[in-house]
Amino acid sequence: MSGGRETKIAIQGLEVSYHGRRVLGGIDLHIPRRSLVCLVGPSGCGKSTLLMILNRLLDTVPHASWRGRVTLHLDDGRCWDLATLPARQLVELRRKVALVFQQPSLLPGSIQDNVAFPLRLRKAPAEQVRTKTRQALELVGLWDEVKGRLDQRAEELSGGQQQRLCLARALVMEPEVLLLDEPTSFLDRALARRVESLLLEQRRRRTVVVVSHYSDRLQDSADLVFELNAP
Amino acid sequence: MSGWRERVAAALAWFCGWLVLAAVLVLLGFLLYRGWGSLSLRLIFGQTDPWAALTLSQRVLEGLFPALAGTVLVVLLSVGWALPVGIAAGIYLAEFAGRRFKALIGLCFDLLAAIPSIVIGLFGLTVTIFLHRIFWPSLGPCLLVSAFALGILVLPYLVRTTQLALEGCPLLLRQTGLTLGASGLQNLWQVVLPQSLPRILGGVILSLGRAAEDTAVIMLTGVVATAGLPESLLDRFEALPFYIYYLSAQYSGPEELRSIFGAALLLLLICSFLFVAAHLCRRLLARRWGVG
Repeated sequence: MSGGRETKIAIQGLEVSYHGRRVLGGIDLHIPRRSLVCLVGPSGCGKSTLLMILNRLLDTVPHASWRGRVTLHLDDGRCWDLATLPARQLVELRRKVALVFQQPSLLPGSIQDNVAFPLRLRKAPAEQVRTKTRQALELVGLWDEVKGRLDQRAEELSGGQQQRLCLARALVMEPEVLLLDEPTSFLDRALARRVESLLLEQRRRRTVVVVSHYSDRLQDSADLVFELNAP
Repeated sequence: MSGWRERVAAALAWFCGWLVLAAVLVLLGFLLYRGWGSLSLRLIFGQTDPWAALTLSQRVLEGLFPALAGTVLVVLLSVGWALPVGIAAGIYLAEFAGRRFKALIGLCFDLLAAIPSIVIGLFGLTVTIFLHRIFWPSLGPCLLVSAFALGILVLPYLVRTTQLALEGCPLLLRQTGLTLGASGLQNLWQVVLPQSLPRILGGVILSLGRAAEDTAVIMLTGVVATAGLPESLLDRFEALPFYIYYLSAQYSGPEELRSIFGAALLLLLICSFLFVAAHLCRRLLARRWGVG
């Protein structure tokens, strides 16, 4: 399935429990470098949970625990075992493995504040912030819609615009791995096709893992479709 | 049957809502009716020229200016020290404290909130006597001690409001900051606190009001009927709530009674001004951050 390509993420014997009840078990998956992988399965089977393990965001969820071996092979040659990765390296992990939630999750502030947030965290120069913000908004097809009102509150955007804003915000991070949970669920057909094309194009630069119920096109074009079953 | 119950419950809720509103309106109306006539520059500055009083070049002997300034000073000083401490303690409880310690400290702050203000005043006085005997012989009841004691009085409001505001921040928002590469501290300063600030300011508004109206604490720790403007933090001072209390107990005629209502109206105006200022801050922040 991976066509002999180099592994980016290797998952072996992964098990996840909430309140001691197993919700995900026996997961073995090898995600090739610079590929697009679709996670599919019925609601509640643990697709979003699996994404949250890949950047250790599950640590923030109360009463959730997991075990197994998840290895991330970085572009600089390092190899991280996510289960034992120390807390001080989580920031670096999350800058390399970006996650976009299904529900648009806006930060307090303007459109500009939202997209520029990851760049400002890294203290990027103002000119770079402006350029990269614009590029990211253009990539998701939002620039023309918001270019005159970047200082407007982000929450005033429509649901579809908010979803694309969150995608743009993840893209400015230039992560090695991009995790997306139903990235087209708030979009009309034309915009959904545009985002799908963008994700298919992105796999040439980074590894893309998508949870997708709705997009046959993504599933058809994916390098790997991994089906999870209900627990 | 259920429709009948719903109608009764709705009517009761409607009645109680209007009862509260009516009580507020009656109180305000009564105060305005009795105090409006005496509200004048003369009530505040007496025979002294207002400009001379404001520039501190002449003392005000008859007016309420020293009490007005004393009230503003003691409120700002007390909230000024309690605000950073209360917010920091609230942040600690919400973000860093362990479950058991949080429950224990939370209970302590709830108990502190329930302590009558006269007991807080007594505590302030006891601390003053202790310091006076052991470390600081020149220290007595004064503006500094009153501000310290009043700060203790409002501390639980600030701590609890901050804690609840932070704990009310949605998990998804916290996760968003983290997944964009923020460290725990960056997430707190740049995502969680801006989101919670409007609600924290609600606690500040409550504290301002509580500090401005309290008489029992300052009565034991530094306020007197006639002191003039305090020249330092170690001076005694005058305050409107105490003026109202003191004069109400022994007024000698309708003129003094009118000035009591005038003082009450002034106190209400100061509180309203502080409330409005805090409310404007909250709206400004809400607009800036898109929250609230």
